[in-house]
Amino acid sequence: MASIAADAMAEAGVAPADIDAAIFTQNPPTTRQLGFATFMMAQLGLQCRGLVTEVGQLGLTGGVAFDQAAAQVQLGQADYALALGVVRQSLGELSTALDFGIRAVGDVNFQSPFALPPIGWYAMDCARYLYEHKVSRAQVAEVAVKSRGHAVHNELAQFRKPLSVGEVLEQRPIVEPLGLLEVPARADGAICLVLCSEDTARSSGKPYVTVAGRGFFHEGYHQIGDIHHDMTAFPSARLAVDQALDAAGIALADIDLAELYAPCTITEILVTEAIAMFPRGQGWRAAAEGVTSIAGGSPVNTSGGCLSRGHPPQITGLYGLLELREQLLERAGQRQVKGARLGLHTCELGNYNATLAHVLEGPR
Amino acid sequence: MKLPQVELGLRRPLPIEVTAVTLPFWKSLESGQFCVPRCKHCDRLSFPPRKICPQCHGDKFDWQPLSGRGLLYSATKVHSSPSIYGILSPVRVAIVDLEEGLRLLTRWLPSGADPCLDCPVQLVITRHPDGHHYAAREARTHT
Repeated sequence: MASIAADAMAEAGVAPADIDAAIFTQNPPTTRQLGFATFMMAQLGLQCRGLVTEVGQLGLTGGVAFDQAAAQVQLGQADYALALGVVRQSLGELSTALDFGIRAVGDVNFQSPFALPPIGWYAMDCARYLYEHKVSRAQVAEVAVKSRGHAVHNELAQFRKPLSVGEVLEQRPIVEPLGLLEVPARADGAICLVLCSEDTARSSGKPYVTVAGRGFFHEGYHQIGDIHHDMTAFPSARLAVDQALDAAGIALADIDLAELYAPCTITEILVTEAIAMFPRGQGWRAAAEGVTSIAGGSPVNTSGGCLSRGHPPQITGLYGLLELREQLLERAGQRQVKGARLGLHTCELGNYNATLAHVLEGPR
Repeated sequence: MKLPQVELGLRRPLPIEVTAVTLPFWKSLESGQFCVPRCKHCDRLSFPPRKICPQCHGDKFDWQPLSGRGLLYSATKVHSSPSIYGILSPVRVAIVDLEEGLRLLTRWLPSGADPCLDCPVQLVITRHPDGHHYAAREARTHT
C-alpha cells in the first residue's frame, strides 16, 4: 500500500507535505491490522489538516472513498486528497470472508441463517432472468468471455488467458445457475488515486481527468424488499446514473465507455438494462454481438471487470475509476477506446439496492 | 391456520437472537402458525418483524397468521459455504412471494425436481433440537 501511494503521488507530482486528506477504503474482515487509516499515516509519513478516515460499505466502498476525497477538495478542506485502499483476500480463510459476506447481505436473524453468500443473490437474479426472458445460461456466459477478451490486454488483470463459452459452461457450479467463471475469484489489490481542484491540476502541468457528474440513490431495501417487486430491475442504478448524467449535462448516448460494478456475468447484463443502455431482457445480446467490446458501440468494463481484472471488493470501485482515467488519458494501450472523452462508473451495495455513479471527463 | 411441520433433526446454523419485537413471531412458529405484524395504523404487513412500520412509522401491530401459500420467485443452490453452515448442506435457498403480498428469503426443501419459478409453494415449519424455524417447499395438493 505504501509504495503504491508513493508511486501515485510521484506521478501526480505532489510531495507528502501537499496531501491534506487521505480517505481509505474500509478494510475487509481478513485484515489483521485494525485502525488501518491511522496506522497507514505513520507508514506514509503524512500530516493532514483535512480528513483521515476509512469509509464505505460493501461494494460501494471504493466509490465512496473517491466521492469523499472529491468532497474534501470541493469543501476546501484539502488541496490534494488521496482515495486509497488495500485488500488481501488471499491472506484470510475463505470461511471468514464467506461468513462476513453472508452476515453482511442478509438480516442476521431472518436471512443469514439460510447461508446465502453475496453472489447467491446475483444467482437468484440470474435464475429469474433466464426464466422471465427465456435466455440460456450460455447466452449469459458470453459476458465472461467478452470481459476476459478485454483483460488479455490489461497488465493489472488477475486472469488474462482467452476464454470460450464452452470453458465457462463446463466449470463446476458455485451458486446455481452460475459456475466458477461466472462469479468473482478471491483477489488482492492496492490502489491510490490523487484528487485536487481543476485549477490545481491545470497548474501542475500533469495530465488529468475531471469529475463531470455524480449521483447516488438508495432504494430503501436490504437485498430484497419484503413486498413483491421486480428484483432484477435495479432502479437505484437508473436513478443514480440519471442524476450523474444530468449533473454533467449529458445523455447516456454521449458516454464513450462504462466501468460498471458487476461481480457476476448476470450483474453486468442487469445494470446495463437498468440504466437503459439496452432494453429489458435484451442486455444479454450485447456481449455476444460485440456491442460492449472495446471496438463495439458501447464498451463496458474494458478493464476486464470483476471477473477478469479481479474483484477485491472494497477497492473494485477505485479500480473502475482508474480504468476510466487510463482510457480518458489515452493510456490504455491495446484496450484503448478510440477518442474516449466521457466515461461512466457505477458501484453498488446489496443487490444494486444502492448505486453511486460518477461521470469522468478527459481533456478537451 | 396451521402449517405443515417437518422434523429436521439438526440445529439451526446461527444462534437466533429473540427480541421483544420478534418474540411473537417465534412463539407463533411453536404454535404451528407463521404470524407477521400488521400495522394498526396503515394495515401494511411486514416481515421480518420491525420496531416501526416501514410505510408509516406506526409502532402498534396486530399479529396475522399467514396462509403459507405463495409462488416461487427465485431459487439457488449454493456449493461453497463456511463449515458452520454445513448442516444445511446442500444449501438451497428460495425467494417466495406469499399470497398476502409479502416476499421473503427462506430455505428450500427440494422435492427431487428442479425448483419451478412462479409455481405454487408452501411454507412449512421446521423443528430442530434448538427450536423452530421455517422453510418452503413445492406445494402439495393433499396438504
